[in-house]
Parts: sequence; structure tokens; C-alpha cells
Amino acid sequence: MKTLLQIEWMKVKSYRTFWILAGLFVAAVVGVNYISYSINIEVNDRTSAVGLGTGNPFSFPQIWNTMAWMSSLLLYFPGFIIIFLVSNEFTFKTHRQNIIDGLSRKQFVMIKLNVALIIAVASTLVVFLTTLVFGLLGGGTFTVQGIEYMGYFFVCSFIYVLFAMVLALMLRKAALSVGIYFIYGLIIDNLIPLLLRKSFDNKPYGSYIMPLDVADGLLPFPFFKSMVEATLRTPNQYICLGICAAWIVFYYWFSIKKFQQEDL
Amino acid sequence: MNYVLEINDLSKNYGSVQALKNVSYKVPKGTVFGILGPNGSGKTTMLGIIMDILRPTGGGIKLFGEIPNAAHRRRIGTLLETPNFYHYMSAVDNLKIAAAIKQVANPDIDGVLKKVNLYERRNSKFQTFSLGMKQRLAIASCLLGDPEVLVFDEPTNGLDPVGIAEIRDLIRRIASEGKTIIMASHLLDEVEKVCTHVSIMKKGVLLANGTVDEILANDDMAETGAADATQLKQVLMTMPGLSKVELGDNGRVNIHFPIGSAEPGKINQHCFNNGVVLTHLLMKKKSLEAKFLEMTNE
Repeated sequence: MKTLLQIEWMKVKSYRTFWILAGLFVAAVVGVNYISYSINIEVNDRTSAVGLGTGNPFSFPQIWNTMAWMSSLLLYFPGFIIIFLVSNEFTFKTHRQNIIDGLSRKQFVMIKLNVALIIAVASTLVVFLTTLVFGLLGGGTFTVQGIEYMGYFFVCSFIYVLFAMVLALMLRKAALSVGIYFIYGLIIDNLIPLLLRKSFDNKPYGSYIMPLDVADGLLPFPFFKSMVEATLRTPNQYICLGICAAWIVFYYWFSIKKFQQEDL
Repeated sequence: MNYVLEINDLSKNYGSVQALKNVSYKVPKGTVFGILGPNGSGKTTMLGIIMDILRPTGGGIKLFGEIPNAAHRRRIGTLLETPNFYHYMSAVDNLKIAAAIKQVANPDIDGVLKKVNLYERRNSKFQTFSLGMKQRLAIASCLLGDPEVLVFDEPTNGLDPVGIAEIRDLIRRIASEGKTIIMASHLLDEVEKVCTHVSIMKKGVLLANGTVDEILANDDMAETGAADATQLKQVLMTMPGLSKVELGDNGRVNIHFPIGSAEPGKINQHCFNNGVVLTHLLMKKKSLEAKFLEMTNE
């Protein structure tokens, strides 16, 4: 497997689009968090409405939750990256050539799944480092309490990236995959749980089905905590974790099965 | 007899289109095996199934006497249908990836590029290559690791006459090293010049299979010419042992004998004895092209 990863690295390192998207993602993570950090400071300066929130969302330990939630809005970027990497293979027909040259079909899919994992790990690392920097800058003592939100972020990003990968594997075209990824993520994935909740008499069962929605459930809205908890329903994070794990297993199984059986 | 490839009753449907119907044959080791057929006969489909790109609907394949797997494919250098490479990468980088997948320890990338005359362009991106260059890079990729078997699907596609001659020489050289080559082609005279065995396909069905000599000659033929073609024909029809006399192109008369029984000297003697002076006498095998057209027009 190590040589296979080296082969993927050879494919990626000269691909300019990859570096641009990766750079944009890092810049966006820093940027988006900086923006909300600045807004938070302004709000605190102008009002002393401390009762709105519990503590400062930009200091430890709340900052783990805050940054994870803010950065999860940007998870479409790693999704694009994996979509391009996978659909390039189909565009150039190198998915055929790799098999002809001597990869097995299962190896080809597994290595792409592992690339998705690496992208998720890398994204989590970027967010972790950004959180460290902002947390220390803001004063306050470093603590690992609340660091489980980095773990939730990892699971969330893994689901986003895996979903994008499976989409690219099925559709084989970059533009179409990106379009459907967006429409699905922004609209359909939020619409279906809403409809399910309404038909199930407002019970939250529907919240625990759609993949991206469940992944989002791991990261609760970080601002105005007490108010939020009083009014909105927040899903149980352990159930979300379990369902995320189920989706991950499903994506692995589905990709391998599909690629082994179809004509390339 | 050692067979590199065995195909048993292979069938493939694309929906309602039947691309292959119960095709069976064997490729012996060390031969140059040609696969001929008109467009749509199923040649590329068959090669695709052998290389695990396509799933067969029925039948089976053996590579090196075993059920095919990725390790077998690493021992085979294959060019299938189109040159497939990463457009944003250079020739050298693309070959590095191919060599890594084939698990070739020390690939002679420069050497292989020189063999196909791409060494000067080795650092240019693939997307800047002409069709002929792309084709040559694909052939170079096949040669990585000096594999024992080569599978070429239309290797001369897009090449100029110099390129075609170079590939012909390359194939001859590789064949003389004892390697096995499987070649699908339309170019009948290329196949005739280079191949030892040939199989002919049409609409997914195998029409003929055997050595080039077997397929080509079912009789001996002498092409004769004289001043008066009608008289020549009448005289030839009296010759003993013949199987057929017919008029050929350009005023020639063709006389056919059962295989191995034609003697040019006797033909010459017979005609002279009967008052006809030959201006042209040539022993000919029926050309592969004629045979091919005959078989595929049925």
C-alpha cells in the first residue's frame, strides 16, 4: 500500500489545481475564523450582553467547538479536491490504464478511499493548528477540554469527502459532480430531514438519516449557547457518531462493489 | 505446447448488442498473433475483457495457464484503443507512474523513449503531444520492464509511414527475442509481413484461426501473362493437375493448383509446347487482403 500511496503522490504533486484548491482551503479556514473572531470582539466591545452566551466562544475551551463549526462550512473545498482527483482518472481514461498496467480493481478503489481519508486528516490538522493559534492569541489558558470537537470535525470532514468521492465515482464527470454536490449539500440534505420530521410528528428520527446532515449534527452551533439549547432541538452526538460510522462503512462497501463489477 | 492466452467460449453483450459470440482460441508462446477484423468485429472488446477492463457475459479466459489477476497483467505490456496518460504531466513523469504500477524496479525510461524516438520531447507535457507522439508514448509504456508478452490494439494508428515502418521493425526485433506479441489491426499487409498466426473476426464471431500460411494459401496460384490472353487461357485449361483457371487483373490469367503441386517450369514448358510464349510468370500466395475480403463479405 505504501508504493500505491507514492503513486498517488506522483499524480498529485504536479497537478496545479490541487495546490490552488488546497491553498484556498487553508486561507479560507484562517479567513473565516478570523472574520468571526473580529466580529466577536466588536460585538463584545459594543455591548456587554454577556447573558447572550456562556463565556467567550473564542477562548479555550469553547474555541474548539467554535472553530470546528465555522470551518465545517468550508468542507466543500476538500470535497472539490477529491472530486477532481477522481474524475480526472475517468477523463484521461487512466482508470483503465492503471488496471491494464497491473493494479487490481480493488486496489484502485481502496487507494482512492485512502486518499479521501488523508484529505480529511489534513483538513483536521489545518483546523487544529488554526484553532491553537487563535486560542493562544486570544489569551486564555490552553486546555484539551473540548478537544473532542476536533475529532467530530474529522468525522464530519471524512463523511463530506467520502460522499464527494462516491459521487465522482458514480458520475465520472467533474462539473456534474460538483454541481450535484452543492445542490445536495445545501438543499436536499437539509430538506429531507425537515420533511421527515414533519411527517413523523416532530420526532427527531428524520435527523439521523441523511449523511451530510448527520455529520453536521456532530458540530453544534457555537454561539449563543444557552439560548440555542433552550429553543432548538440539538441532536444527540453519540447517535450521530454511530450513524456516521454506518455511512462510512456503506461508502467503502459501495465503492468497492461498484468498481469491481462494472465495465470500466 | 505452452499457451500464453486461452479464450474459451467468450461472449459479451452491451445491452442488446452482442459484441462477442462464443469466441475460442489459444495463443502459443513466442508467436506473433494477429487479430484481424472490420470495424465493430469485437477485437477491442475482446482485448478489453482479457485486460479486465470489461466484464464478459459468458465464457472464460486463462492467462499463462491460470485465472487472470493483476500480477499477470504486470507481465504484459498493453496498448488498448487509446493512449491514456495524465495530460498535465510530462512524458517522463507519466512513464514513472506506469513503471511504479508495473512494479519495475529500475525502469529504463530514457532507453524506452529513445526506442520510440520521443527522447527529445521527454519533458514536454502530454497535452502538447501530437497524435503520433501520444501513440509512441503508449508503445514506450508497453516496453517498460521488458515484458514477456505485448498486446497491441492498432499500434500504428496515427503514425506516419516512417513511424509505421519503425514499429514494424520494433515488433520484428521483439519477436526475434522470443517474446509473444498479440496484435489487433486493420492493416492487412502489416499483419501479413509480421505475424506468424492470424485470427479473423467479424461481428463478434471468429471466422478463421491458424498460422498465416494456413489461412492464406488453400492452393498454389500462378499468375501468367502472354500477348493473347484468350489463347493463353485455352492452353492453360489443358494442363494436367490444375484446379482452376480464371482471368485476373491487367489481362493476366491465373491458374490454380492444389497446394504444393504447382511447378512453374512445367507451366512454362506446357505453354511453349502449345504455341504460347509467356511474357509473365509469377507464383503467388493469395493475399491476405483478398482472403480477408472474401471471408468478411460472406
